[in-house]
Amino acid sequence: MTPADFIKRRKGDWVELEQMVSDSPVGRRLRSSSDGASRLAGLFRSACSDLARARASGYPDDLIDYLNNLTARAHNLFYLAPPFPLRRIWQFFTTLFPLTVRRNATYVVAGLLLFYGPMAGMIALSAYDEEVLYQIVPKSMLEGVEKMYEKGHGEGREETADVMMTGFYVRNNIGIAFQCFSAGIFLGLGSIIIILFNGVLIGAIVGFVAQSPAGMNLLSFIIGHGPFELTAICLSGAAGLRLGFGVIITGNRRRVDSLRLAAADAVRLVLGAAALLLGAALIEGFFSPSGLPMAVKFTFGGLCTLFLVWYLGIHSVRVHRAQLAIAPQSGTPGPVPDAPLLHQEESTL
Amino acid sequence: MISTTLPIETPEGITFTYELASLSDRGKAYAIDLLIRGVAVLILGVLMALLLGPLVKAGLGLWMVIAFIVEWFYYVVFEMTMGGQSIGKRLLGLRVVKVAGHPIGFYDSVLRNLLRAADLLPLTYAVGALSVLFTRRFQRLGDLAAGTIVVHERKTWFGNRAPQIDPRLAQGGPRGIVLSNRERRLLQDFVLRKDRLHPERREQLAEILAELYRRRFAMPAQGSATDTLVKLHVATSEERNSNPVGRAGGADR
Repeated sequence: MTPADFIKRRKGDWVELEQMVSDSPVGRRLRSSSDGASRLAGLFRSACSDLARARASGYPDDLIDYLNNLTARAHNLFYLAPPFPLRRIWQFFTTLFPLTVRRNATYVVAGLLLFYGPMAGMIALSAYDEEVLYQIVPKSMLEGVEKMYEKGHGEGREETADVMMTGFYVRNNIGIAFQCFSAGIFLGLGSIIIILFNGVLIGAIVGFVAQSPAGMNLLSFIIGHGPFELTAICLSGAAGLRLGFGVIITGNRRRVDSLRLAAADAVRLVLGAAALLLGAALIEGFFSPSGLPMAVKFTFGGLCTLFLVWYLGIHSVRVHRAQLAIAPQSGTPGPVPDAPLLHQEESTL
Repeated sequence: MISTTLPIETPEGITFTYELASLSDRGKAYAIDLLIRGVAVLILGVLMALLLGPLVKAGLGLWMVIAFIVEWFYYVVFEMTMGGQSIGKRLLGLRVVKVAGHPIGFYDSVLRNLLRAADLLPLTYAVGALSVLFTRRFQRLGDLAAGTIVVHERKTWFGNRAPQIDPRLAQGGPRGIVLSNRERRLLQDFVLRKDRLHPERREQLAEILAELYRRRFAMPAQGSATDTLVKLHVATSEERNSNPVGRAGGADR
């Protein structure tokens, strides 16, 4: 067969496939019709064999290029990623996120220590030797914060201000968490610096203001959202550490594969952290500055802490055990990026 | 060897190639998206201010949430709904796919786009650009972590790549020569590129090539080497277009 005969015979199918894979409404309608999918499959496979044939017979290069590009586009549509149903979001919080926390317990604990350690240290320092504290965090800054909390929240504030501040917390805090996570790709160093910095700063502020007359105002303000917010920053740091150590400790994988494996866990950690921060922003915007009695605020903060201990400590361990019971042969149940079976990791849940 | 294409083997047992997107095309797509994001945030801000007049503080709060979403999730939303493309990428014909060639999932998209924060350091995407330049598959850090690549989708049509051929050379080529696929492709590559080469350099290259063909087919050396190659190209492609190709093309190896 000459190239011209070949083109004449097959062109009809190519044009039809071209139409089906196009981004136009026509293409979308063709694909979604009842027998569209099987028609697409047939056309895609025959285009594949046309490409193989054109190559083997040495047909003109522009024809080979054309078929190559057509198959490439069709391939992308044909092996479409599965949809993301809402049920998955629920599953993420009940199973996937706790499981990831448990599986990366080392990093999570490291993140918690890197944050709460310096924070506790700075609080202790503020009680013990204020002069050294001012060497680390400027006194003028600490006094500025103290001034902000002099008034207290006895009468609350107007609702529109609550909405505004919530928006600010969402943007600012989740943005910081994302930055803390991505900075971790530089061998974890970026994350370590950001969590340490925040731990030191927040520890200094809490330690300093707590001793002033405004102390109870500040504590009752932060106790509501603090548990969620601070833990979430630790988790995003843990995600960054996971990413960075994926580059350093590769096991018997290539470095880039090790990074990819680490990143699959890390992104789940940071998304969980973002969700916690969203909750924290709502609490910080509406609940923390409200005129509710301090006892209510402290009780609420205590309940939040208990919830986090249960969720990240107890629940995650249980989910992990249940997972091991289902798949005992595969030592550590984990996501397998780029496994031949598409999205294998979700199908096990 | 530096190559801008990436072969993908499909379950159908054939291999097709993706063309990896160049840094400059990705930069252009980014600039378009940046403009769209900026304008969107601005317009929504004005809208909030106009609609929520007295509740301006609440509007500011909502606007900050929107700005946050646009800053961090613009790409995720579009890559998920437009099959791995953002608006800028679509205009430039780019698409994000997994290294193995299939479409990206939700977590891949989140990962590669959150890591923009690392790639854009220190401003102007220097880290990302260096990473693209130094990785085999042109990946920035976010791509490496998510296992994704950015490819250039070309919609070509065949029959439009005919090289410029001097009509005087279209006649009198050698007859009866049958080239193998590789010999033919080499010849075709040269003819397609010849007009982009400096004449002297072209002749130098042609000399090397022509010598091989002359020796293989026992052709006499006459005229410039470039002309010899063009004549051979014309003659053999005429032959191919009139004869059955299947067997006459010869073995590729």
